[in-house]
Amino acid sequence: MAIEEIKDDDYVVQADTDANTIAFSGLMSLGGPKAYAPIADLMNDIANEEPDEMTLDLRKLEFLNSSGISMLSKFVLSLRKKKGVQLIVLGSDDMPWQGKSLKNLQKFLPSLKLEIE
Amino acid sequence: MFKVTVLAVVVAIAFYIGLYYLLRKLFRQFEKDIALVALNVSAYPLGVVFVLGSIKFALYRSNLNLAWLNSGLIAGIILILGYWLWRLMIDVVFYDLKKWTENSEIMWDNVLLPLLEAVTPVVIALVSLGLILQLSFGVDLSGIWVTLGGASFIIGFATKDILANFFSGIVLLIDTPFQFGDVLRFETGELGILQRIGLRVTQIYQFETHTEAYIPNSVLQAQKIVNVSRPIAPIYYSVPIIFPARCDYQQCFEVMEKIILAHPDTIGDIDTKLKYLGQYFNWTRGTNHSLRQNKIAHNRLVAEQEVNAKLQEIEENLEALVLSLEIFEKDGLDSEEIETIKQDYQLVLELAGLEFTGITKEKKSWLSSRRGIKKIQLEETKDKNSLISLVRRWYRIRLKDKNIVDEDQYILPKIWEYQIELLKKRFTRLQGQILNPERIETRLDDYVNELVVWLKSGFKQARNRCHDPNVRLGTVFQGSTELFLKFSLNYYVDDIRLEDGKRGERVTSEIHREILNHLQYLMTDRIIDKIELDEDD
Repeated sequence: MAIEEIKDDDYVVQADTDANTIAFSGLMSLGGPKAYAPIADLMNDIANEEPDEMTLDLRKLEFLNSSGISMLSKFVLSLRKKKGVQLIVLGSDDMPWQGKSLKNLQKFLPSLKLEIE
Repeated sequence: MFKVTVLAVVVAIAFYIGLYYLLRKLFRQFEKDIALVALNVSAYPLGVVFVLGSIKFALYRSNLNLAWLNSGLIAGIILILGYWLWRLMIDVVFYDLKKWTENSEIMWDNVLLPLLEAVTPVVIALVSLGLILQLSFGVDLSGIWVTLGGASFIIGFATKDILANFFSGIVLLIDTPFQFGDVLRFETGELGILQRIGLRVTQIYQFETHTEAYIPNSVLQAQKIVNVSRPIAPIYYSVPIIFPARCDYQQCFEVMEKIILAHPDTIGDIDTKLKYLGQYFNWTRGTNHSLRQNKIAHNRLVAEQEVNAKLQEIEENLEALVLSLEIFEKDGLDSEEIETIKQDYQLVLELAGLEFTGITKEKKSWLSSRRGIKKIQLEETKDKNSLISLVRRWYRIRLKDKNIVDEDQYILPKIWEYQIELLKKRFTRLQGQILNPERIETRLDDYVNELVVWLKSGFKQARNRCHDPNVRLGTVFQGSTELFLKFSLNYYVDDIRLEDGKRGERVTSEIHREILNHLQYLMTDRIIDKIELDEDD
């Protein structure tokens, strides 16, 4: 199993390149697009392989700041070109930020499968 | 009398303070300065009118017989009201109309505004003078009005054609059925490029005769005109072609589609064009001249592909911004979210080849009541991979095409520099909205979306698969000796304004010639095959 990890004191991002899954946890409030670039690259690397399914597991992500939401928006929109990739986003009702954000992602990528626990 | 006059002056000063200072405080909070400027322009004249009116009222109540003073007061009031109206028109109405037209793509700013600016002060001055003479000095102007009415009737009758053209021109400018540069087909069947709508005539460049026609506006308005540049600028051609039914029609389909696609001047998928470009039109088997032409066509297509890719990147980033905004705006934008939007927009600006360099304040002129308008400054960067640089590179390569005529060396840059100017205006407008989103935060996503729509439909069109060429089999019919198949070749030619309007004809001719070359070859093969089979039998 190939695991790539980006972590800091407040958050951990783990990418399982075999399962095409990226799990986020903690509090992410990085300062701007440049700070989020390594995480965006991690997601794009998996998406560029054009797997049948790709999962973003956000259930344990307690907070994502506006730059992070912007990064997520760009990633979701970039998947419109990769029609063969089914994106699954796992969210949680316990995380207040996810309620208002994740449903909008689905509006811009109707094929996105949103699973909120 | 003195007491009433003093009281009137005191009330006027209080009125002045209330009107000027309190309202100014309120209007300063508005996003646009139109109300504030209107207030500044109005404060002194209305204050003076109020004082003069109060004195006149006091005079009336005092029963003093000071007719000369009464006349002077009336004349003063009319004069100041006239001055106030003139300033209001210059500083508020025309100024804001100019600003608005600068940021829009309407066509009447260079025609109607100067006319209105010139005529309005004269009308105000004449009306004021007439009122002063009549109300203040008791001059009976009814004779003048009757004379003027009669003269207007005679002048109107004598110049009825000019007036008809004038009002038709105004209607054409305001109710705009076309834009400058659009290709129009007139009732006579002639094609022409719209160059200018004037107050009396419209200027049209005629392809076929290479002349400029000046059509009276009333004539233009009365006829049925087809705007062939709408809904998209590339022009659609549907050309019939007939072959004997004995040809291999499957192969015919394939070859014809490939030939239309391979032509560099038809709209179609650029990757496919680059693939087929070398196979058709004898360019690879041709002379040095045709090899050079092939290279230019190749470079041009690659340059266009780069423009399309950059445009798509910009559109995707803007769409991501719309998505982020829709998420952010639900609870109102906080400072961090505004900062993120600014950063994301900055990235889009970089892709376009623009840089926000700050806000400048226009100098206040001694005549103007304005504080100096804040102006968003976007300047071009030197990035060679930006959209603006790529567009310029693309049109410069197009100018090397051997089919391009001398006039195109002027027309093509003019078309694309105009588009680049519009692009800058739109990005500048959005920059202003993003810098001050406080009152429009729920609409920001709509503004960004408007820009995306314009980039797709107004900046560079025809990037969709629906504009790809195709071949359709129409009818099968019996000729005198054999059956025939009628096909229709359907394709868009990129810009028929070029090559003196003969681009469409040239492209159609080249496609036909190439199809005939290849299908004659196929048919000959079939015939040879058939002859060989007959001989074997």
